[in-house]
Amino acid sequence: MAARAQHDGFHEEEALGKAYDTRLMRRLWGYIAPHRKTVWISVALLPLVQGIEIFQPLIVKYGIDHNLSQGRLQGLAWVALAFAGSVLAHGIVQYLYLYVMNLTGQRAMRDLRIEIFSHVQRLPSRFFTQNPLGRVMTRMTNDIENLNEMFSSGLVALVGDFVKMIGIVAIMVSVNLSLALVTFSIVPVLFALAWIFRMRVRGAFREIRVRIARINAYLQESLSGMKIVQLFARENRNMEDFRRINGEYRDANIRSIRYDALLFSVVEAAGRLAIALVVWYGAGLVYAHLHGGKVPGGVTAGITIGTLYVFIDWIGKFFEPIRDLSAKYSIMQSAMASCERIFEILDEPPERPDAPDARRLDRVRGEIEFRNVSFAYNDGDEILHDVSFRVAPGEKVAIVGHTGAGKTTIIKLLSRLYEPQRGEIWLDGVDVRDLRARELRRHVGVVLQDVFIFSGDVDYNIRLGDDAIPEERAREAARHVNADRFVRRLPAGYHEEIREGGGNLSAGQRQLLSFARALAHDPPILVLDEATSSVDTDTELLIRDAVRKLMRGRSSIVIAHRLSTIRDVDRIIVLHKGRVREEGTHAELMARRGIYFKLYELQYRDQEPLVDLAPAPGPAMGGGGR
Amino acid sequence: MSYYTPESMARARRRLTGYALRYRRRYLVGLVFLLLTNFLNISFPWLFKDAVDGLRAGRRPREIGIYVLCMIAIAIVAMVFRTASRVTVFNAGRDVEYDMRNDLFAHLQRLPRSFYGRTRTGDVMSRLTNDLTGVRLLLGPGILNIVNTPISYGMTLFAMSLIDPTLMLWSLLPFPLFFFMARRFGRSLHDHTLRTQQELANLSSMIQENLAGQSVVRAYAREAWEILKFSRVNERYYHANLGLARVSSLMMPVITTVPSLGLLIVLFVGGRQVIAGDLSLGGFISFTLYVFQLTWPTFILGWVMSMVQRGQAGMNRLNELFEAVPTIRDDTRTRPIERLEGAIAFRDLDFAFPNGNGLAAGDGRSAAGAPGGGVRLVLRGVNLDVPAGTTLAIVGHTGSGKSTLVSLIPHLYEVPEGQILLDGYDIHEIPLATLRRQIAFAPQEAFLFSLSVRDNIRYGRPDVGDDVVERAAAMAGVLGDIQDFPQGLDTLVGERGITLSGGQRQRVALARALLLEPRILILDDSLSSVDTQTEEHILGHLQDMAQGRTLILISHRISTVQDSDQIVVVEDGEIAERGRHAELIATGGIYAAMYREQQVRESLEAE
Repeated sequence: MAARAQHDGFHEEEALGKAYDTRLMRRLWGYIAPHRKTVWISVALLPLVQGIEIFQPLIVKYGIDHNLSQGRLQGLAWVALAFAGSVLAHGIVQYLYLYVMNLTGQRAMRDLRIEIFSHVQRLPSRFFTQNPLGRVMTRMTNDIENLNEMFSSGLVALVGDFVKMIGIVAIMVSVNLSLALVTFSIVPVLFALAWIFRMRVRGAFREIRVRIARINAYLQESLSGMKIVQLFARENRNMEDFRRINGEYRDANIRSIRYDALLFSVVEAAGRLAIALVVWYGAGLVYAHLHGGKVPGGVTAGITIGTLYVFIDWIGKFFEPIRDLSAKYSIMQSAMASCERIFEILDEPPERPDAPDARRLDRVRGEIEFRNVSFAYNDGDEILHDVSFRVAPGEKVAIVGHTGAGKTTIIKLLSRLYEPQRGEIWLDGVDVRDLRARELRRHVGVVLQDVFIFSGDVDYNIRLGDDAIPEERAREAARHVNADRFVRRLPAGYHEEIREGGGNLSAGQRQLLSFARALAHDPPILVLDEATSSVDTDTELLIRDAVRKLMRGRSSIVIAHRLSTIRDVDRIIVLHKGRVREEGTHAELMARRGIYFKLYELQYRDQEPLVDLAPAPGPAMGGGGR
Repeated sequence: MSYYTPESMARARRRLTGYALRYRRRYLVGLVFLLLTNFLNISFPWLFKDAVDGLRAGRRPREIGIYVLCMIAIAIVAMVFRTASRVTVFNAGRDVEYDMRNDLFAHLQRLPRSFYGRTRTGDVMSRLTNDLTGVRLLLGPGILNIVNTPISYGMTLFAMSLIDPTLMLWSLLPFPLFFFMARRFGRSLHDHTLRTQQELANLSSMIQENLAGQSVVRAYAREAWEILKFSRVNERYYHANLGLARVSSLMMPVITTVPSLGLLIVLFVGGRQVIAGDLSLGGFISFTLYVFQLTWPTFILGWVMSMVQRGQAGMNRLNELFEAVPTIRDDTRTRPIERLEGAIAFRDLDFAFPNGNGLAAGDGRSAAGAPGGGVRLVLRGVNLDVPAGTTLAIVGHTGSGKSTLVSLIPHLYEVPEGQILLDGYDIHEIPLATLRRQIAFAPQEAFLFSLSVRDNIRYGRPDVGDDVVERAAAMAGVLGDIQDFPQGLDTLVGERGITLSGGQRQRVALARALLLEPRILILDDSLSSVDTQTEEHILGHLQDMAQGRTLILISHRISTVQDSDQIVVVEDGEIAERGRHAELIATGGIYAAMYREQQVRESLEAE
């Protein structure tokens, strides 16, 4: 059971599907097929497992007929030995069968997990905004576990049971046809009953699922909205509602308990009735055999007591699997539902693949051009309108704008996480659509506002597992962006494990770390979304210095939140309501007294004293940790 | 994880026993049915024995018929008893589940904000689903099998000893071996399961991290590396699973082998006795049947063990919920006050969010209360008087403490005595029902329930008619929108219904508050997603409605608050400025700066 991801399933009123779906099974076979060899082994083992189990009683029968009935001691030890041998053989073969089946299932699940994980890496960014993380998690963990369960218990048992029941019928018929017919006269009745039960139980199950989903939804909502519940003093009324839906759930369960208990006892009773029938009909046959009298039913030869015994043993074995049929059934049912959902993700179309004739850029100069770019995440809700601008190689450009102006969208388009509906984006004179996406992203170094920290040590978070980056370069990068100082103060330095999400680092330290990460990968183009979070003055100075160094010598596009950054860049582009409205240097734009002037009032004016505090980068700071 | 003390576990056990004892009569009836079922179970092979021996003794098949009739009768009666025993006991388990779920829900409704502040919804949910299921399984099928296995053993052994005591002892021989192996298996299975779950947790957190860090993975084109990293974790999980499969695959063969070994002994030892004439052939066959009857109760034993463990763990976790203290409730200080005029006073109010009333923080027994040492104060030295019927506006930056201040008025958090007074009464003297009936609150996040629009609006007074609902909706400026919805007031809100825009949600939430016609109306930035024109329109209505009522407004828009009788600026938990609009502008402080900023922003919007 996956502990992490189960909370997502609460609202979903799971549609109760079939326990066997040919289409899904055929597709699932695709994952089993590569492990055909083990499948054949288990197919070969299965008849052996069930065969030994079915033949075992025949040994006892032999003992009864040849030794016990005749009072002959000689040979009894051999019979016992044969029985012991068959018990041992059965244990070994059964173990092998179960293990090989598990092996096949585990291998298939391992492949499926890799496939779904790899597939998710190729899905377009849009997928992640449309699907909550929790739901994707559930697909990749819980649903696969459900399938796993099907392999390790449900399916294995069902196939085994089926073969066993067929085998028993066959051998009983071959040993004594009339006695077999008498025995199985009860079976049609049993199957009819089981069928009726199944229908009833299915209805009851569906009702239970709907009602537990209702309870969970109600609970979930009450917990999230408890403040409103208490403020509006709805406690008593809600208690009544809850008591009602809780009661409905209990009643549905009580109905299903009745069927479930009855099914269990009916199967048990059917087994006994079959035995009674065998005794009734068999008594005559045994009598005929013992005393050679007339036989009812006109059968010529009688049967021995051993045969009577063996029939009874087989009957027990025949009815046993039916007892927990409903448990196996529900395992299959939920596996099918999970299977459906897993394939749904696999059927999500991946990101547009790179063109077969995709261009390679060996030396990137870093010329960027947006030509009449328009873009909407959702149809009819355009974020960027006809945006055009150009960044010369090595030029530093700041994009400023009010919230919702479309600044971050520009970053996403540049690294081709999304593609514009109209217009083109060019890199060094090549349309980015003609470049390989991975290569493009390697050229464009993006540093985002909220820094994502992977679990692992500091070094890992700088290099991200890229062995092409020598350790020394990672250290150098960290020194350069002033991250070295705090890293070296950590108990284990660069090998300090960072907690999930970077919990043991401050916001400023996380930023410095992300700068080191970007610098270590040394992209020709830098795209930086400056963080707005406030940090203490010392860190602020370190960050300011690091940003300056990061931009040095590369084409840079910065979504600026720092006044110092704005003053450092060559040019400022003012984005307002999805359009480029003004362009120029800080001084030029201030002189225009337009949008930029107002933005400055709102966003940057407060930083004035801080900028004045340290107008030029102190040379000491470059040295990092002295 | 294991922060349960022996005392807390004992309390959990006592609570569980208490619930089970409510249904003691049904459990007793279930026991009787179990005894009867098991008695019939042992008489079936006995009849078989007599039938076989009868045949051997040369009795005619017709005379055997009586045994067959008895066998049929037993099969049918046993079926009835078996069904009855299961139904009674399982139903009792369901009834306990029902009671417990009701009690937990009632308890949750009494718990204060401080509890919800430090408890994740998902955690409570999983306790009310998974853990409650664990408890129910223990009190239903669990208890049934715990009782059934010894009964079944006892009776079967008794029957066997009646036929031949020595052979009974012989056939018991493999069972100690079985218990020994079951224990070893149990431990091994437990270890492997633990390892598998650990690897699964690793796998899950790897996936979780990869999904959360997709932006970085893509930006640095690290997909191939991530897949490689995943395949390693995946491989480890695969091997852990195989390890588990090796043990669990062995389980089945061992379980089926044990009765077979019993049978082997019966065959060899019993066979010799039959040949020697000490045992009848019928006795021999019935012995084999008895050995088989022990298979199921033995088989189920491992399952029962895990069920007991799961049930106990679940009860411990549920008990933690039960023991969370409802710190805000009517107590000895409460006086019979039925109506409030609406005067509010804060006296030297210091406030910090209380510690230690959540699930994560131990056994949940530590009562929350006054701010302790080392806790960050959210509000400091607040002194404020709001005369009944006047309007107070609160402004300030995000996180300054405005929302906290107003949420203390309906007593959502524990506050020290003497610091908040309504109509001159200390807030602890006012019954919660009175307090909350007289205060209407429209919070920032407009939480609506999955009900119809109508039922959402009349949430606080479910019995009012449509005219009242429509009047409130009109006042909140949302009636037009509602009439445009496909089913008008009947339109469902939420996942299965219509998706409202942020502004619509806020206005519905406002209508819900207005419908209470309260003495005190608190709007906590509750029109932030509504555009300025609509807001002005709504505020116009509100002025009329608020005549004679106390109105508290929190807003980021100066235009919203400028006409208030009193405006306070909250900065870092303290009241930094107070006065009327003109006075505050003249002072040239925070309020004046906000006013200026607002004007720039407006002119920027107009560009």
